[in-house]
Amino acid sequence: MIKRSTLIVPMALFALGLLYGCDDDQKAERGEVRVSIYGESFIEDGIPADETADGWSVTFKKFSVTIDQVSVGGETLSSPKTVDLTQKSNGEGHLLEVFKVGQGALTEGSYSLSDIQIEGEAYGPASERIVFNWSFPSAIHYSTCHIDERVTTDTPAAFQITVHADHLLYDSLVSTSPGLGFQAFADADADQDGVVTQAELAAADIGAYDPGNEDVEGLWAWLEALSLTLGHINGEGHCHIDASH
Amino acid sequence: MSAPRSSAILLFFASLSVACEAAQEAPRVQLEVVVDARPLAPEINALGYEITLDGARLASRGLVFTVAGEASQSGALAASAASPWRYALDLLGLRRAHAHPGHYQGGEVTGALEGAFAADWFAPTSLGQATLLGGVYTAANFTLARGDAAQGLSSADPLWGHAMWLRGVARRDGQAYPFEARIDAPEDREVVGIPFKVEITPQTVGQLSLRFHLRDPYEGKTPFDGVDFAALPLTDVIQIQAGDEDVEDAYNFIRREVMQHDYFSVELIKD
Repeated sequence: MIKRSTLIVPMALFALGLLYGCDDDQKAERGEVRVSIYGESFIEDGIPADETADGWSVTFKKFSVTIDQVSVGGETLSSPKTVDLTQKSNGEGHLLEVFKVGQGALTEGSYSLSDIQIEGEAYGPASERIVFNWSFPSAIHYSTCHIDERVTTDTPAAFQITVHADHLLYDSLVSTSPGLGFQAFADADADQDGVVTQAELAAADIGAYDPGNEDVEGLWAWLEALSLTLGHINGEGHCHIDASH
Repeated sequence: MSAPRSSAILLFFASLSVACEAAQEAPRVQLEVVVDARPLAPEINALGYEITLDGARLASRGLVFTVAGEASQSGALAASAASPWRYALDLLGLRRAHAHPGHYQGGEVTGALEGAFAADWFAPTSLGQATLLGGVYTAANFTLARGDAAQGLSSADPLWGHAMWLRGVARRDGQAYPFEARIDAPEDREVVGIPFKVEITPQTVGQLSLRFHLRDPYEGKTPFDGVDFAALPLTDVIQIQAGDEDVEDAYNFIRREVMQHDYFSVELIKD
């Protein structure tokens, strides 16, 4: 009679072999991760007046961002890409690259945004019109972006960098339900030429805006702080923000 | 399977079970939370006014205590999933610190003073018993409220409908400017990251003292630095509150400042 213990080692080796084989099969049959960026309707169509507390609406003529350092599923973006998010995408966003990765769960990724250039117009409740042309050149790195995707051979997983333009109109850096408005930026147009510039914003106090524990001096610094929060993942998913202006 | 081997496996699982139980049953400590009784000394603001307060009150919906944690929502969620505190927190019914882009202070809630309270630094009282798990604490957070019956206030109370009420006198060049400021906070506005650097163990005794600082001990500023009292409309008592354009800038400045964590601290005062 063969002792049971003498069977344990070969059985364990057999099981390990099966596991290795399965793993190898999974690697051989890779699935897709579609990496895209989307500015949602707020950037493509504008932010309507009924979204703001002060009755201002905003439309964007340009909302250009450079995407780099995308990392998900062990793959990285081949080169930085610049996209104008005002271009219509039928709700799909703009495809940046398709990664081939092993099957299985995808739980996080990272990316960076830089050279954000925003041009647009805002319209007030009393038919005011304000033009703006703002740039935020510094890179903002978004890491540990939480996603809940599964890569299979049948269905591609999504890694959609979602840019929330309405954050630029937030009245708070800390509220979980901030109000939106543009009046403070319009009031900063000191020379009343209908164009609110970086210099005018820098000279304007943040007024009733709530910076939380941050010492934010001037509306330009306020906008810079808000610009850090533009990037999300797969709609409403959040990331760790690593860089600041 | 041989008896020794099966015994070893049983022991292994038994040890796992014991380890899990140990993590779940973290020691809890009950400590009284009081309003700090030390007097608020006058301070000079950035424009040369000597500020003397004789009233400083705050309405809150609750106070929590946190150990170190991640600053972003995703990071906080990830940290929570791996935390041995999670089960114990569920048992205590304590919520975890919520973070969102813009919430630059995180931390994991492992202690709480439940319930609304009104803190009065000129009539300090007990605010109740807090329950804390043992651990190395780094911060406290409180949620500002509009003062109402939940804080035991009457509608005649100057804190009624407001988050903070400050009264005092500003003096410069022989002139005195009595003032009264009523500060309103956004709904559910938390003051996050109030310094609270204490290790709590089952042997910890004493009181947790909630302190208000008229001068920020870290940056040296005061909540009135941007207020030029002589430029405000002079009445018997200058009323600084929301909705009055004449005092709007002063109101906004004071409001921004007193909603910052640097003007508060929680300290363990041993008996």
